[in-house]
Amino acid sequence: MTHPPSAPPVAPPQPAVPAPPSAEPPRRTAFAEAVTRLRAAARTEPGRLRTIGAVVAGLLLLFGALTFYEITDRADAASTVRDSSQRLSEDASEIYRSLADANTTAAVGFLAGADEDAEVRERYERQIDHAAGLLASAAARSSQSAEAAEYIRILGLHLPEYTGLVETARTNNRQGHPLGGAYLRHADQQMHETLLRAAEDLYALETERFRSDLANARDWPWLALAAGAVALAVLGWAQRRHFLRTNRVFNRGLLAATAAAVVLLAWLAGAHTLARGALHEADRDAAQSLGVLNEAWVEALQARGDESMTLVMRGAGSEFEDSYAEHMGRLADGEGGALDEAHGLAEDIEGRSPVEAAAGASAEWAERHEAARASEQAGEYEEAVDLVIGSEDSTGQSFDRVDASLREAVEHEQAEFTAAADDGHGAFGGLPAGAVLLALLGALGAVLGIGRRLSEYR
Amino acid sequence: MPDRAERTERAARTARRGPASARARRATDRRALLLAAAGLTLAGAVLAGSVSGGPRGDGVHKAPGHAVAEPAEDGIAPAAEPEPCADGRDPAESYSAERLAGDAVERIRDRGQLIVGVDQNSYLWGYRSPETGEIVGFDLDLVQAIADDLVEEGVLGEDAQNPVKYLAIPTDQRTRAIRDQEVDMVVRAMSITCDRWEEVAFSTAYFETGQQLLVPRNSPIDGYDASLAGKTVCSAAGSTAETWLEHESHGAELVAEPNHLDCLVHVQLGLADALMTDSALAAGHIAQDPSMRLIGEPLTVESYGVAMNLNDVDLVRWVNAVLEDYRDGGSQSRWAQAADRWLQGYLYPQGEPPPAPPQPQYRD
Repeated sequence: MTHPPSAPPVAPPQPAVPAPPSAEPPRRTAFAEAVTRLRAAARTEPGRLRTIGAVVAGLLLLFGALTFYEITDRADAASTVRDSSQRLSEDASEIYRSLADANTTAAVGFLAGADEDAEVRERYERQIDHAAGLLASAAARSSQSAEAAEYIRILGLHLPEYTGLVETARTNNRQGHPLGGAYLRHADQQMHETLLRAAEDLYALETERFRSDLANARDWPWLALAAGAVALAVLGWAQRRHFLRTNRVFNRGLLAATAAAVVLLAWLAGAHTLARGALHEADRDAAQSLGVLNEAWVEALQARGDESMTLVMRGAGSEFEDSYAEHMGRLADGEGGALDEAHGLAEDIEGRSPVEAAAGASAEWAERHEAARASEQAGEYEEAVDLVIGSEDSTGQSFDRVDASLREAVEHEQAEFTAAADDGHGAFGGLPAGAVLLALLGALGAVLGIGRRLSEYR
Repeated sequence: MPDRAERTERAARTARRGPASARARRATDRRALLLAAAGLTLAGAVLAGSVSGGPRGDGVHKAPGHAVAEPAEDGIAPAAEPEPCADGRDPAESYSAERLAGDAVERIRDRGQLIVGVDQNSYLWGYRSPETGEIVGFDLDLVQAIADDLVEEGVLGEDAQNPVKYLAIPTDQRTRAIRDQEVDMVVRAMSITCDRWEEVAFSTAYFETGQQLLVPRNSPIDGYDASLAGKTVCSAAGSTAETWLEHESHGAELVAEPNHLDCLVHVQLGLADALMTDSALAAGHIAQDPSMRLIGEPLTVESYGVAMNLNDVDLVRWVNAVLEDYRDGGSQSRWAQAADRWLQGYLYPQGEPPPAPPQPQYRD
């Protein structure tokens, strides 16, 4: 039963004829043919049943596929948030903080001159090393945006320049040359106008990216939810139709398909609600707390630097004292200060108590600062220096307490964040695989259920 | 190290110069533009006049106080001579010397302490010694002489723990501190100017200096002339040096920093090729960086004086009397000893006697 090797009996195509409308008629014919065939099928019950079966199975598979796709996407975003983008944002803030800390420590060490504590010197070295290390690993990351890479380049370029200025300042200071103070001020200016500015921009950029990843993870999987709802509605309609036509209440296959769709829809909604809640907590409670705490920490560091620079400048102008007052105000100015805000954001007692300790220490600091300032203005320079960097009742000790409390608070919030992000990510666990399995089961159920009805027509 | 008064005066001076320089360039074809600029500058002059005039009402017409003789149009530095004030008096003239206790001296006696405003950042003049932590320098030796005299004359008790209290005063706070009687006197490399005489009283001159260029040893710059073309020159913002450079830069690019010491940082870092300040402060720069040298002749003649409250005439006379003794004795005077101690090798060669101190001038 072989066909003759002749050309098919259909009208031969006319490739040589350039008439454009000639392309239309054959396609319309094929389409019309299909429609006609469908209409013919719809006129018979088996035909209708086959169509219903295909649509239901298709909808269930679509539901499963969309769930798989959207949840994989959300889970990816959640793990990006947890494993990388929040880390990047924290790294950027740590670069900023290390630089500010190094600048502050340089001023404190300068004040002590030749009597500089080895500990102060080490702290300066440590902060510079830390910042340089973070910069190196940030530069090595290939996923950087061009903008981030530029900030990192600026930081890497100017950091050695800064440390060079600090060393020159130190050398001149040890020789008793007032020129050392001018160098340190130049270094401080370089730090603020170049390094800290770039670090701040980097932090803003990474934080923005982190927030957008977080928002992505929290996005409702609308397509999957809609597909699930439609699949359930069609299943319901098919079963009602089945009941009306056969007077039989249950079709096991369709019932199994419905059960699979309901379970998947509930799982999807439940898991996403859980993840959303956890990520919301990570965002609102931990990430925002972290942001405010980082801000408070930097204000404290800068106020401390300005306090020291005021004495380094030895009465040549009031710019640093003014700047101190500004930073101190933003740190602890009652309501609206960063510490106050952090206290309001803290969720639990473990979060609140270090913030309270920091607030207490900064109040003590401000008080001692006034005493040191009074000494300086009364011409008691040595006494003022002692009140600022001395080992007893100095503003330096108050600052150290603020510093330690804020470190504790930041570590706590960081742990909270990681836990909440873990929860959020965990809520999606197994869902993509489950979606595929349930959709397949559902589709199988639908096909079997419809097949059973079809067999009644044979 | 100019204060607010000088800055105001400078604004007035700059404004006055405006139309002249506009006139000089009017030959060019961008006439309309320049006319507009001249008009603006004129408006600026009127404005600056009304501002600097303030309570005195005659700011614009004041002769430039800080001995900035207006450089001639061709830019050649004039013979450096102190500029007389509007009333024809030399600003360096002070009240005649006399130790006669009046209200001010009695105030110091009652307090048992002399309060002096000083600088802690001018090497050789007033700075913290790294060994002792004390403020030392040429200015501080003079304060010591005044304090010793007050003790000798019984104004301050011999057993006083701290006969002198030193307050570090920022440059722009000097006149305010004196007027508010926060300090009895300021001894802080402060130039005597006509404008400052409006606000504070000065002793007779205790040091003479002038604006000069300071360059690294191998610099091709050889003076305040065409060799500056294309170079970067740094000066303290609001200083006499800045005014000079703005008026005639000889083609140099100008950088203004908050303090003359910042200019030395700039030169050392290669951000500037030269700096301009007065030769006395420049001596401090050379002491901190021996590779720097002064070049050219001083452009101005300025004198340092002890600044006091306008009402404390008795104290001014007393300080003038101390200065008479301080300068007296030729190369063995306390003045010469202080110069040898701080300035020898920087302002004059090692092993040579110091120059003569400025001669006191009195107005009565």
